[in-house]
Amino acid sequence: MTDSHRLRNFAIIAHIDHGKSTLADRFLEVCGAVHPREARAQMLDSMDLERERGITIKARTTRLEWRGRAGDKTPPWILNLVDTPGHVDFAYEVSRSLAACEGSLLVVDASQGVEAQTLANVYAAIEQDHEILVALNKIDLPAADSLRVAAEIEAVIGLPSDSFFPVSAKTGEGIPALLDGLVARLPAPSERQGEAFKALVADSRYDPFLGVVLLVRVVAGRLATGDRLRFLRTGATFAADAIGIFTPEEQAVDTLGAGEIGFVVTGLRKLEEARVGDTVVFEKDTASLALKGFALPQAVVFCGLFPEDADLYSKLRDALAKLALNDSALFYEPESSQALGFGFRCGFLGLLHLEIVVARLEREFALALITTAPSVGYRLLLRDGTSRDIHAAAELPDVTQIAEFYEPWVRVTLFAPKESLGAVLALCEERRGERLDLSFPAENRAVITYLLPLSETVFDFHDRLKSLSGGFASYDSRFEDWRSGDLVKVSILVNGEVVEALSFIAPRSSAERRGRQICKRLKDEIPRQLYKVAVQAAIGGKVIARETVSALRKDVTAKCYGGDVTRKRKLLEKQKAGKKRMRQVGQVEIPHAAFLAVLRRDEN
Amino acid sequence: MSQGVSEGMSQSLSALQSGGASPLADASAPAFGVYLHWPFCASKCPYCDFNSHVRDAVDTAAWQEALCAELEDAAAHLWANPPDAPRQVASVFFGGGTPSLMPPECVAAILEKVQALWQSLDAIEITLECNPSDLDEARCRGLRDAGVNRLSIGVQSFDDAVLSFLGRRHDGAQARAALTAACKTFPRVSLDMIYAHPEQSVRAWREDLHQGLAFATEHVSAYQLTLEPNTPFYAQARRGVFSVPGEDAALALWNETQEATVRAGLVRYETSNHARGGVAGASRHNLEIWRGGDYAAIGPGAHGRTTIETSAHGRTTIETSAHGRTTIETSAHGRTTIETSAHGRTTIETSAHGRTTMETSAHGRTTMESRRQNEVQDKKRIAVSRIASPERWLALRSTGKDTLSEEQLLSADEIRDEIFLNGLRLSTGVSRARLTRETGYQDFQQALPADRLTSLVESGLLVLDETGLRTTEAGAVRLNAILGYLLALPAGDKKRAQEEQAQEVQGV
Ligand SMILES: Nc1nc2c(ncn2[C@@H]2O[C@H](COP(=O)(O)OP(=O)(O)OP(=O)(O)O)[C@@H](O)[C@H]2O)c(=O)[nH]1
Ligand code: SF4
Ligand SMILES: [Mg+2]
Repeated sequence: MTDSHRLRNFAIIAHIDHGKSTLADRFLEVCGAVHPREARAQMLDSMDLERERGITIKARTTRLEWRGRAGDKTPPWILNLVDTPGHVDFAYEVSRSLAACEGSLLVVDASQGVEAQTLANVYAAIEQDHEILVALNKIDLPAADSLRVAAEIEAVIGLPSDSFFPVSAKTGEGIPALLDGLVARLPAPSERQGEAFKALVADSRYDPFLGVVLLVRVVAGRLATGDRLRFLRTGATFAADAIGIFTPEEQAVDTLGAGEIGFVVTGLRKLEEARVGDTVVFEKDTASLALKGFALPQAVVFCGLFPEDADLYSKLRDALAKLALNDSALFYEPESSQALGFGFRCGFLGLLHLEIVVARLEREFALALITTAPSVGYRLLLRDGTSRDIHAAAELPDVTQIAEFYEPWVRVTLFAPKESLGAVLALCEERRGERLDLSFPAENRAVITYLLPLSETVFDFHDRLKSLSGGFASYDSRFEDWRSGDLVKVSILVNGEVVEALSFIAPRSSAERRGRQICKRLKDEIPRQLYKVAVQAAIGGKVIARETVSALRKDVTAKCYGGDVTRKRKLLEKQKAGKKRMRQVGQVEIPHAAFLAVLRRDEN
Repeated sequence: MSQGVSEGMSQSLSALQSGGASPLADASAPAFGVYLHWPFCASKCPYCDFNSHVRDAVDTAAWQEALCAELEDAAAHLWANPPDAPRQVASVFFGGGTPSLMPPECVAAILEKVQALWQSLDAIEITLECNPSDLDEARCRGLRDAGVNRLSIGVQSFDDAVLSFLGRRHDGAQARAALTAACKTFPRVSLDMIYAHPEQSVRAWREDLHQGLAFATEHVSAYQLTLEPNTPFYAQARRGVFSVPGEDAALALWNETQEATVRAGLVRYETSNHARGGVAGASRHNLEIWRGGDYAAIGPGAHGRTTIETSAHGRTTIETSAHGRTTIETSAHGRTTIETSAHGRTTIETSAHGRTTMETSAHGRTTMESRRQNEVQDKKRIAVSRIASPERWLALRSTGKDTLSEEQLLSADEIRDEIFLNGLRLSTGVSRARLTRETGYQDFQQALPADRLTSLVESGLLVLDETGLRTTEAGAVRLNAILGYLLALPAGDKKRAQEEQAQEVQGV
């Protein structure tokens, strides 16, 4: 049993790469949570994808015991830290983590300063009424400038400098003082005495043996193993087969009390019965009201996902349902395409999110997928007065039915060093941007605010920004409004047949250039075959680009005698496996790679 | 393998004037070919990926004995005579390697063994592959006296420079001498030529080919040089030591081949094979293989096919008494009686190669689950190959052990694939009768994706008519792409899978 007044729950938040996970490593080490032999860098980044890419994708929680700098505090303080991802595409992980905590530890790289997600995340924490401490990290670096960065934080965010702790997550310097600071300054969770058991579902995952496993924050009361529980929103009931905490390994406990963060094994197999953001109460409790859940994040980009092997549709459906339990920002609905067969239209918080979802589906569920060109959502006002949201060029009705074509615009806040200001401004102008504001909150740092069409920021904006600022610029964006635009559908035709999965929506000004570019790429990707293949791009029936893949003229094996047939047949079997990955449009076989070719954008 | 009258007729209807029915058309009993592999060569040609080896000395007596033993084994097992309709040997083919290095006595002994083990057709064709460097009149007479009645000569070219590039042991003069000797001794002679070597012009090929055609043999094989992986040529071409003609140049050479052979009175009956009178002058052995016939595999690395009729009378009868005694008649080889429990599942092996699962209910109703091909065709087709290493093969065979390296019961789809992989190489294509007999499909639209078939016919690459399915001239030269396009999908099943998915999507 844990006294809630000895508990501290906090989220570690920061801009990407400022050192959250490394700081968590030091906490684990200093508190003796991991044996030095088992310790490894960014311990909490346990997913293969996280380790390969060196970024955090999933928020991870762990419980620590802190006996104070003198090491004499008994019983110890219990700290629940939640390490969150810094990349903007996983912001939903951050917001759910914040809801499970009373305080936040904002990490700022002392060699870099305040960046776009520093600001976005700290505002989210302020909105949750969090007590906020600041770790000025990486002070071991020669380029670290704690004084300048501290001044910047005061100026840009307005946090008082007495809450700043200079640390090095690399050397461990300042960590014990920071832990003491966390204990002293963060509030204990409220005990909510007298209230019935109630917990917020902050996350979930599917385990093939255990069924649905929930990550909960107990808000009131106490839960014991075996208790019968109910989801307030879905109504599903279950017994808590097992409950436990993270240390960081899962460790079973008998009870979880108010203020604690832990897991609950439900045994549920129907995935739709468990929902992140739902409230769990005792089954017989009919009086409790649901806790405030989470606002579902708005998908930013959409694309179609199809199994490479068309026969694996139901396997993909299953995989998506399981993955969505662990990635509640993922949106999907069934879709069918004449070229690709049956699959799903999925919505993501950004291209990295898209990439990670595809990679997880491929690895965790052994699926091979075809991804169609990503697109932002659009809104149409039709001549009959109704409005409609669409997520792909294929969903567009005939142009004559469209009265107004709207695209989403976002307010983009950019942080850039002064030297790259000119280039950053030029990029925004080139992307149809409207400048709102430009200020210099600190020495050598510009903060620029622009309104930009979302579609101009989703695809290669980030990479361009990074490359023209030497990696120092960052940005954050949030939805502003829908604006009517001069948008057209660029249809891609293969031998005269429109292939919706390759078609896209673009502003008229750049439609022709992109149409030509994609025809060229398709020409390179489509292998020569029996028939001549004409690849065309067209806007409203008018062809704007054309490429031809010439037909095979000679393709025949010279010798095939008794001993060669077996070999030829086996070759054919291999070819068959390859062809499963091809998609047929009329007489033309289009390889998987062609669909990916459209995905790549400008090659400047 | 009965060769029905209808197929003979249908062939005479075909675009190619085939010169009459197949040589086997009158055979009512299953006829087959015997392929015999002699794996030794005097030297290894740099383009060759055959199972050929250079050895200082070959113990021909041991080899003769082992080859004869393998024939006995074949006649006892895979190519055994069914009790009611014994098999007949329609052809024997000595391939290699270089079988012209075999002593004629060895050839004679092997042929005697063949005659002793199976019945033979009167018109049996016995071919032996020769290299010009070993072929003089004496050798020709020896082979003829041993029983060989057709020679296939690996001339490849008459041009000394080309021959030396190809790493051949003979020059143009030796090629001419060997051909002259062969034509004097044998009524049926074929010569092989290779084109599309580096820098070869159409004119150079025309002149080279012309020399071959001047011998007026009944049969010419003209092969485009193929760079096979694991050959010195392949590695050299990859390193850029030389480059072979590209697609358009190769097409021009192909076109020249067609024109020149037609002018010489030969008809292309297979991708690379041309014969006087078309099918009439064809290699009967290879023709049967392309048509999907059986052939026995004898010697190291040899491949073979055998068909076992599981019901010689066209029907499998299953009788189950109320007491659980089931009698099934599954094959020509006899009757199997099995006991099944009152209710339950019994698995029985109907032969070494097929498994049949039966379920018998308490009421005596039996459902039998077996591979589709058995239900439709009542026969099994087995693909076999033998161990390629000459030494290992000899060691195993000499001690009476099995030399098979692979034995595969072909599935319905695999049988279909082989029928088309082989059959569409022939100008006569795949006949309707052959399709139904070998695959059980009633027509081509069932056996192949109908929409793809139609589009290939409409674009002038294939002809589909009452006789069957075959390539046009335009199709013949693009056959690989056609086969890939047609055979990439399993017949019929695709549509079903898609319908199931459509239902699932509606259910989401
Ligand atoms: N020199 C130095 N490097 C550090 C320190 N803390 C972190 N790093 C390095 O900074 C990089 C990013 O560290 P992470 O801990 O993965 O950063 P993060 O904030 O968790 O990143 P995301 O989870 O992807 O947002 C790694 O290469 C770390 O080794 C520090 O105090 N000093
Ligand atoms: S003679 Fe024939 S089998 Fe022997 S190496 Fe040359 S090509 Fe190959
Ligand atoms: Mg991290």
